[in-house]
Order: sequence, then C-alpha cells, then structure tokens
Amino acid sequence: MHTDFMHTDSMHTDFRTKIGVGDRTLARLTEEMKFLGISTRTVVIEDREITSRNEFIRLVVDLYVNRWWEGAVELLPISTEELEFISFCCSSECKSAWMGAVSAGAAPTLHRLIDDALRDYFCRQQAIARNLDTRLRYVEERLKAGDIQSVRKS
Amino acid sequence: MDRSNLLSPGEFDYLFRFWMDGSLDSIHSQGCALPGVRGLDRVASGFRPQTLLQQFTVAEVSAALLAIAQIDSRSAALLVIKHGYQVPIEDCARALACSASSAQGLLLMAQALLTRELHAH
Repeated sequence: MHTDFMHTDSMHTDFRTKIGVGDRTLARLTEEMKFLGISTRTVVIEDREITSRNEFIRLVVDLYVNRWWEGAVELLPISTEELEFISFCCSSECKSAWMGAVSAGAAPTLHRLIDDALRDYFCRQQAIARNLDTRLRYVEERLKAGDIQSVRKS
Repeated sequence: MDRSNLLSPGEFDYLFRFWMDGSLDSIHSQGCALPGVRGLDRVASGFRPQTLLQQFTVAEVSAALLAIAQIDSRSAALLVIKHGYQVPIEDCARALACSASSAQGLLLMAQALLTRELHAH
C-alpha cells in the first residue's frame, strides 16, 4: 500500500512515496538482488555504490525519471529515518507538466512510478543479456576458428 | 602459479584496450615510442610507461587468446568481452546466465589462464 505525502508551496512540490511494488515485480526484484549479490558486496551501477535494496530502487527510479524528465524531477537525498520512502522534488511548473503528461497517458502516476521504473529496468537488462549473449557466442566462435582480426576493432 | 606474475584488473583492461584497437597496429609496429623502449610492437609502447605490459606484444596476446580458445573458448571470449569491450561484469553475468559473483570467479580463472599462457612464451 502506498502512502504518499505531498507538500506544495508556490515554488515547488515535494513528493514522498512509500517503497512498495506489485507481487510480480517483487519476485523479480528479489531475483535481481540475489543476482547482483547486493547483501554480500557493494555493487557499482552508473558510478554509484549500492549496498541495499532500497538504494537500488532509488537509483533505478532516479535513472528512469531522469531519462524522460531530463533532470526536472530531483530525487531528494535519503535520510536515515526515511529508508522506506522515496522523496522527490520538482518545480510547480514541472509538476503541472507531469500531471498533464499523466492525464495524456504519457507518464506514470506517482503510484505507478516505482513499478514502472523497475519493469523498465528489467526489460533493459533482458535486452542487454540477449545482445551480449549473441556477442559472446560470436567472439567464442571466431576465436575457436583462429580468427583474431574479427574480434578486434579496426 | 607464481603470483608475482599476476596482472591487476586495471592492467588487464589496459592490455586489452590497446590490443583490441587494430587501428593502432601501425603505431605498435613502428613503436614511435618513449625513448629507450625496446621491442617495437610492445602493446603499451608509445603511450605511457607500463613496464609489466611492455613485456607483451599484440601478437603474443593474440596467440595466448587463441591458445586458450582451443581449450576453453568461453574463457577466451569472456576476456575479450570484459576487458576488450569494457563490459561490466554484471552484464557479462547476464549473458552467461549466472550470478555476478560466479561470473567474477570465471573471469579470475580466465585471467589466470591468460597470464600463464603469456608467461609461458
């Protein structure tokens, strides 16, 4: 269940949403945490050190929002008592644009944001895996055939 | 294995970066270089002093990779993808369908194979 907090003044709006995802996303998230080994080591993604599940979610949401919102929505720094929440901040201008985009179906609502961001992340990772698997097989086959030039950049 | 021969991950990256780039072949073979650097087509010559890496030529790295590919082609390919194409280990793991730490383990073994092969000649 999400509990959202929204504080607005004339200049900007703060959003706060509880970290919570649907069952299917949660299952994949658990798998991903295991895959990355986040509980046992520090993982570096996009030059940021990730040591917990919530930090990971914050990063994924941040990357996702920034991809379609170009820096207009800012993730607020995490505070220790707020580990269960993600806080955002954006200008009132940006907020109305966001709400407009939501009504037009072009942007996720705050409620859908975390789920959407994670699903987008999983899709991208799948695409990377497919692409690299093909590359790996190609390089493997070329090396086995003794063809070194095809794997080097000319 | 003599551990003093082990290359660091940064050195592997460095070695492969120059090895990968075929457009540098003419520079490698001319060895337009640091004064006093011997062995004209050493992988690192002409760029910055990396004494360990100056032991190996492009041809030697190629030969070592091909030798590994005959016994363990997956390891040889992993070295090229990880260090040559600079793919993060997590992404390599996805392609190998294993966990990131297993992929790291495979990479360490592949690096040891390569080091042994390079020093064998």
